[in-house]
Amino acid sequence: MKRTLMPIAVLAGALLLAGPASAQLVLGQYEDEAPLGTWNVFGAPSAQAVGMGGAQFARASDAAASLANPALLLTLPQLSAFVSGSYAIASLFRFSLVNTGVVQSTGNPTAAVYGIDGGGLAVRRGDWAFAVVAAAPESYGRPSIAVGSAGYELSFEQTGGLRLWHAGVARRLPAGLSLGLGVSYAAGRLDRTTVERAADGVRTVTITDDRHETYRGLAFNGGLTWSAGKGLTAGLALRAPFTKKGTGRSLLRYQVPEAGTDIRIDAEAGNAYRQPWIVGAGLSWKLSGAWVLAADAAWFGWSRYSVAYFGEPLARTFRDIVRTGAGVEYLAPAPMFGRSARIPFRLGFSFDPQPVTSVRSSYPALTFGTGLALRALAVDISGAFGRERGSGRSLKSGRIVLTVRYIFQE
Amino acid sequence: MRDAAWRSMRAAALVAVVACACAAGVWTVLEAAEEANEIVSVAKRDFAAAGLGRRGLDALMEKDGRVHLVVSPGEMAALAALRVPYAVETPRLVQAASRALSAGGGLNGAYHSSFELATDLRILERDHPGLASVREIGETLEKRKILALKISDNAAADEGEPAVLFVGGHHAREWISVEVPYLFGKYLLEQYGRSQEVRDLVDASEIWIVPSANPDGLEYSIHVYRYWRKNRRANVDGTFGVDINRNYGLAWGLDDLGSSGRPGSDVYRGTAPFSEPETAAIRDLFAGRDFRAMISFHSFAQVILYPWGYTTAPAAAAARLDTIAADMSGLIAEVRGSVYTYGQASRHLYVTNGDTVDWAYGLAGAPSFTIELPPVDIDHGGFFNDEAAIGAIFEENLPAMLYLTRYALDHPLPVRPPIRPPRDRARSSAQWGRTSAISTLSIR
Repeated sequence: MKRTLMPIAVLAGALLLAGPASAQLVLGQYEDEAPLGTWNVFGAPSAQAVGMGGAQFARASDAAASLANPALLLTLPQLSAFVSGSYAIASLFRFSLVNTGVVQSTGNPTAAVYGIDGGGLAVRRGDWAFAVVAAAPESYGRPSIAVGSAGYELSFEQTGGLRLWHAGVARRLPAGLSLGLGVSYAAGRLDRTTVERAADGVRTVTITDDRHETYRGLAFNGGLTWSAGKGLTAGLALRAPFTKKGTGRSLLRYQVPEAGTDIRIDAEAGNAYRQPWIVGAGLSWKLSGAWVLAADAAWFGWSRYSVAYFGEPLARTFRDIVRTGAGVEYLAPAPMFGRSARIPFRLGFSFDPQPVTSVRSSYPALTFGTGLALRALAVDISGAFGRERGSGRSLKSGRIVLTVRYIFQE
Repeated sequence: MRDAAWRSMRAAALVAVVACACAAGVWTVLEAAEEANEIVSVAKRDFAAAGLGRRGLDALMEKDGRVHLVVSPGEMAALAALRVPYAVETPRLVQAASRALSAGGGLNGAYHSSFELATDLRILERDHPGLASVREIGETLEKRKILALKISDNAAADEGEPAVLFVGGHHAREWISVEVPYLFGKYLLEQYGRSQEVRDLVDASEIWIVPSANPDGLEYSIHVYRYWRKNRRANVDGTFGVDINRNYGLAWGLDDLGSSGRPGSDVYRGTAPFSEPETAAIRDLFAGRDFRAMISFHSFAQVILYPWGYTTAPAAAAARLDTIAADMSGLIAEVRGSVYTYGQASRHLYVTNGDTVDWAYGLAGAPSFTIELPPVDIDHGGFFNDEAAIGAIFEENLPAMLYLTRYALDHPLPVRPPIRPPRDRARSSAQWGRTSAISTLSIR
């Protein structure tokens, strides 16, 4: 009975807690709808993958793998659940009012976000495996701004994020092959408010620019793995293009209460963000009982990204990019309380070019991780730290991910 | 063993190809369905006779005895196979929608964005062939086209007729200044067949309308910061923007009262006269044409200003300019009683140097005016006007625009350009919306 209730409780907790936390590493791409950190978001890698350079197409530790390559679900235990959270801190230079002409910063503003990235449950029975996952892979938050002097104030706030509710299925095929398919319902929001207020003792003028967007969309992904023997696994993953559609509402307002002036410009329109193809390939190689190597490459077709915003196409001249990552894991035996336990040590590297062509920037990052696996419970913690190259701003980023996994049935 | 490995590889390759092909195929179908759908209409009786209501087609509406449907290419082929007569309505409806949606529904409501303006100018050109010609007179730093609408009886040809310019949107936040010249062009084209006065003006002249001289700035003021004024030049010190109404070539940079050499200033004049593509576009538009008058629309204050702006000394033609301004002020007041005061720019409002009107007047003596549109002050909206007021503001300015066009036709310019008077000093302007330097930002 306990074994039945526990995974449901873990999943319910994850679903309740899942919020728009950052699941990204780097910052510096400035459009409002840009995910905080990087444009290149595919899946929501948990700590094990983050520690190994983000490699997630040929190796899985929990149900989060279904978002990247659902075929990997067949490599998981018969019944397992996970919950994952992160803390990310990163600098960015130019966004909205900041360093675009209105507010100048003397350094790179810093943003920090934390929260639950996701949770999920994976089940394997015979040649089939299934997973349900809730994840918050994208955050649209920005550092808030509050500047002013006597009689003058200017403030800016932007919050938002994208959540995914995902279901995946995998089927074992002959000849060491596995095939997986997934579908995700994406829903999110982006809220942005700018307020400028000037008072001269006679009157107070307030200008408000208030915008709210909601998103929704359906995304399909799939994957294939091939166990080639001798510990070698190859993975192929793809996500079909999908459109985040939604409604945008805007209110521009000019108020001078002393003069009875209140001018409103309201707008409402359909918005659409057409996300591109992503195709990934990965390899993992279990060298022995203790050593594992993994490497990934993912192509993002950003040149076909398009945005329709309040009835107009927005210019987004992007380029296709290939993100790469690789890592190594060593599992050290560590008997604890008289029981067999293992401590993983992970080290990796990733290279994450950004699609924006106006600033040709890339983010090399070092990753590492450790944890503890004690019987059915595994706790992994990983960090990824990078520095941006290309813009001349030396943007920095860091992210720590904690994932707790419980195996109910091996 | 080798055979088994070979079989594995072959099966892997086959499955990979099939999986990719399936995914690509599914997506291609979805994409095609999304992108190639058409709106068709079918007579109501044919709709019923063919039992289309039971076939799960996506019915949009019923109008004038016809049922409008959204159909995929496959469904359209099915209609043909069923021998159901249908008409493709997509182009007509899209055209109607573009008319209805332009300058409406966007972030700035009934005001034009750069995209909406380009659409609407092209619609005017399409709807009035022969009378309207849209010219790309320049390209901005962000690669937007600076568009001019030429209205004449043979608009496609340059016939050397007397020309008049109505320009708006030099300053990004002054949205109403885009609407008034745009609506003037629309009015002329729509009234050409109905009003003898308009027909006479259009037949005898070239009326040039540049509603938005600063499209980049306009977009920034819509999308990022409502009170943005300048263009989007990235300055060397990390600030942005040149005040393009301080970047023209007459008395450019004369002093730091009428403009500023500090890039962060709202009245930054740029690094050289005509350093900005926006001002260069207006300069080039004048070249080789017989411009006899112009109005540069701005907001706010409800004033009519004439040269000089760079000095308090009067222009050579001050009396004539004052009379024209008085006449225009009177015509505006006649519409609904709005009071637009008038006077020499430097004396009536503040000193400027490198501005449009001084340059245009200095070029060949053409009567040139800045009209600061409503509201009258910040208590009544500052750079905001209620959307419902756009039409009324245009209508009250219409007689003045018609009057100046007629005046230009009746008064050829003197052969010699006016002599510029010596410089002097005057008070500077106050600006609102400064750049603030910050060292830290609060994080949520």
